[in-house]
Amino acid sequence: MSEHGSWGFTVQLKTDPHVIRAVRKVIAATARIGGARDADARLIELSVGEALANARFHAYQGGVGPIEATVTLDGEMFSVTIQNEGKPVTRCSQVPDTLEPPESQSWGLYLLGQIMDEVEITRSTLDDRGTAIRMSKRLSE
Amino acid sequence: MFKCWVEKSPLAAIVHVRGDVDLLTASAFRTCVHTTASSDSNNGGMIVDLSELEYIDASGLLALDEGRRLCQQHRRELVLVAPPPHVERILEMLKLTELLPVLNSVEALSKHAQFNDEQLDKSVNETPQVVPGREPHGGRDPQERQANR
Repeated sequence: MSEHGSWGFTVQLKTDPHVIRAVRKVIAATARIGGARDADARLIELSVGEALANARFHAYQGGVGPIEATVTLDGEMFSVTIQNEGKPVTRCSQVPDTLEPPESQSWGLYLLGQIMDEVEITRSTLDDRGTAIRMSKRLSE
Repeated sequence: MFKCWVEKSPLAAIVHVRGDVDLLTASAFRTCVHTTASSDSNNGGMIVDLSELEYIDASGLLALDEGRRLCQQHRRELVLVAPPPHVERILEMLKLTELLPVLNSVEALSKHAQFNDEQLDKSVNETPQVVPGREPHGGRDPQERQANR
């Protein structure tokens, strides 16, 4: 069991590229505080960056919109939930679960699935339209 | 801080990239890679020096893959040099390491098929030709780079 116990925080942000860069670095730093090795923290940073970029491009059509990011550490399980209030996914969005990398258009989501131990895409709880992505990774010492 | 610049020689064009390739910078990185890969003035191979890369997202990785395809069209090889461990792991996840040679250092190019020692010496010792608007090479020297890996 991690010495870090259970804790977390929630931040509200916009899908501005500068803000996305800042937030993904803050979450990577949080993972390090939670016990993540540097390599894992850098991969978590990539996963968060891809999730936020997807929200910008798909939910807000490349524009700026509101996001809520919740970070929790429960024992060794580090989780990030990113919710938007934008355009809903028109079909059940899934993380590509293939042995071979998919077409390049899906690389971001594919990498997210490769890096994180659990990934779930659901309806946002912020409104009845948006999308939520919850991703978790067990932090090993 | 992001920087991307090109060092040219008769043997190869070396694209150096420093910092984060993300939503803010992927377009500039893509332009740098595309321009170098498809340049008629580049008669040799193409090297992308990743030793000072901090972060690269899917759009940056896509730019590398597009660069590979452009190099193929121009009958030259694209070689990646000195990716940090976390970047190399991402390249492996996408199986780009099966499509692109990845070398530890510029020196390792001497053992690579398309680069012989004589040409390499000529390449790394030449005064860099800076692409307009790009910064001159200001990174660590290759030996120091390898030592720090």
